[in-house]
Amino acid sequence: MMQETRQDRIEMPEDVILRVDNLTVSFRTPSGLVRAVRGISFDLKRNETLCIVGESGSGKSVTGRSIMGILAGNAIIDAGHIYYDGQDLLKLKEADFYKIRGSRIGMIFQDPLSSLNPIMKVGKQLTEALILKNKMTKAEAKKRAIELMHEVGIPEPEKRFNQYPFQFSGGMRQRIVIAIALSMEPEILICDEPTTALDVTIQAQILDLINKLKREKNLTVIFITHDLGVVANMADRVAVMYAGKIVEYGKTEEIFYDPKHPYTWALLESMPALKQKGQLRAIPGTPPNMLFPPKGDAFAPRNKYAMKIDFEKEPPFFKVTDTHYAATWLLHPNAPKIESPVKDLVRRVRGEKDEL
Amino acid sequence: MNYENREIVLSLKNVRQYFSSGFWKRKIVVKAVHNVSFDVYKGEVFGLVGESGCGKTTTGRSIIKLYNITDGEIFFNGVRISAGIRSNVQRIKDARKAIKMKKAETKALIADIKTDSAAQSDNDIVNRDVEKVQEDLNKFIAEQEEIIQKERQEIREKKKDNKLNKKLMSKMAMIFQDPIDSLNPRMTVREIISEGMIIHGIKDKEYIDQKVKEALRLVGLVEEHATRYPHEFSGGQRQRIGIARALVVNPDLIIADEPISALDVSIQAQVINLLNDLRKQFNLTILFIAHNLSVVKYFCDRIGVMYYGRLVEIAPAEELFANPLHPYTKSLLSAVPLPDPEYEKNRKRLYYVPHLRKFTQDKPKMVEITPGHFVLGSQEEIARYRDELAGKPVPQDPTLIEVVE
Repeated sequence: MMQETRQDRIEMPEDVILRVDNLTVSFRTPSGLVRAVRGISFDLKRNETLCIVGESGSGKSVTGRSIMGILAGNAIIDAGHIYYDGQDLLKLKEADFYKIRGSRIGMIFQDPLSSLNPIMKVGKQLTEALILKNKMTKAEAKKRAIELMHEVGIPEPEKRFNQYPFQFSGGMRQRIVIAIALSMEPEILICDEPTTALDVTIQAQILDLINKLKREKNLTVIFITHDLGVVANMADRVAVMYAGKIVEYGKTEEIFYDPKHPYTWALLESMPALKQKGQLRAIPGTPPNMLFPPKGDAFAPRNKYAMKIDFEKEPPFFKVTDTHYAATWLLHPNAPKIESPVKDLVRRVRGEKDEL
Repeated sequence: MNYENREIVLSLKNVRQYFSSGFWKRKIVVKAVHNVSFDVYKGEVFGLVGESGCGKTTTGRSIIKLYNITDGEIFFNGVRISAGIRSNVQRIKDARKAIKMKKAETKALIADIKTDSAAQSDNDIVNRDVEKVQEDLNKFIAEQEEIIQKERQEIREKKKDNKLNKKLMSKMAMIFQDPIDSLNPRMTVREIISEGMIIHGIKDKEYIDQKVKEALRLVGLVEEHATRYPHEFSGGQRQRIGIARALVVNPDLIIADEPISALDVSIQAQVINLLNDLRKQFNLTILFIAHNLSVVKYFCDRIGVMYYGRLVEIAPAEELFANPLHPYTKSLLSAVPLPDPEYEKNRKRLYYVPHLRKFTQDKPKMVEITPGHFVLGSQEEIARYRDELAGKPVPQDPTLIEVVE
């Protein structure tokens, strides 16, 4: 018994606020086990923005939900630990978890309409947690809620307090969701594609707002998205996920200007740059079916640089710099040297600067 | 590019699409599309961009007659396919009102004449005056009735044109946004693709089979896929089925309503490449509705920017990105995120705040500022845009607010 508790509590470096260690999550479905996340590990540093990039089905949302402890009922956590504040979140009982969920780690979801209750006034949804958790009186909670609405940039908060979600536009709804997440003053904010359902102009406003709040409240942000443009704007560090695994991680500049993994190359290439004409370099094929996780490197069948070993053995992480790691056999000392096809990407994008 | 001599496939003239709900006092009218006019030339890709709710999808759906338009006219291959009667009804109402007013006026006038002349005993003069006034009234009523008859005739003609012209409409096809919702889960791929042909009256089974196979091959699927159901395919493949369904009727015009926004990043490029190839192969005309500006720039020849139901700027793609004039276009372009961290860290964003606009007597009009580049603005604004194009220093647009991160 003693031993177990000692194992549960670990000491982390001062600047690491959350550590995910070998997290493996599967989902039980009628057709078999879907391996959504297959052993990912990362450290979240205090006051940074970590972006997790990947296409749908790559396990990025599942990662965020595991940290919040809100996985669907058919999920099985096969292995791994999520350390926060010295304890393993995955071993916590629900009775203890609710002290952390929302109040220490907050989350914003993709669709602002479905994350708000349509038949409850916005004010009530904002004050709900304040009254239940912070034991505020209704009047205090209302005062605080109006402050929060003001902070996230909602005009006329007193009037808006008594309105229903359907009376808000998409961007305003997302602001309400952010205000609710921030009402408990969490340390960590997980944003699961918060701008995917919004337009470019509204998206820009919401991203600005998240950046501003992050600075003001010293938040640590995990930002989950598939839009590399958004990543370039938000991230301090980037983790690229494919088929339930992190394939490359590093500082933003390293990922964008000197990517090493073929999947990152392909992602950067497939976006039409504003100046581009001619054929787009699409990624052939489709993502693997995670009912039958592929052997070796999951990206190999779609990868034109794939070598024989990619189909047989999973690549380990190779170190590029102290902060930059990539899981590809191309970085092995014996691998053939391949010139990165996205070397000129920076130039391609830079050229547009004058235009915009 | 010279657009003067090119054939116009689709032409919209002052199209309005209003939706109303509720009755009497609670009646709400949503002006989804508000006075939109543009032409689409043969063989070009015309892009419609704007934020959600600006009416771009509604425009597309109105063109293919999923809605009956409220006002304005739509011409396809030179034939009027839909026309709205709101302005005719309005003119009839105005005429009726004028008659009513005139009648009341005349009545008052006659009463006046009668009281004035009460003192006089000369009935002849009074009668003559009254008769003259009555005559005026009758003439006026006849004039107005003529207007009403004319408008009614026009409405009848429009209603006749509004009847579905199957032969013509079979030359128009649509690709929908959501590849999951737009395919019937109970139909096989073969049934989905052939449905259009069957509705257009083709009964030859062999011919249909052959066309389905051909269409499947064109979009990069194999013939064996014809017997499967939509749920057996991935998102990108489903969108390919949607494209095959649109192509199989040999359309002159394809309306692509955000065909890639529901797809994964890695699949989007595949579908754009496919559309690009097909377009070159068949010389297709495409109306491309999207909100992703980098895709629109890559794919479209000309772009129309919509804002709250109005077209605010139309220009060739290169020109629009090089010289955006309308403040909304500027703010839209400044919001596009680019995959370049250094650029992103120093970006300046422009917010468009239409409330700051000074409302003057002259209403904003669509003006062709350079050949092919149209922009909506009042005379004062147009003058400023001209100066801006000429490279003269101009004051900052009052409706734009600059935000530096």
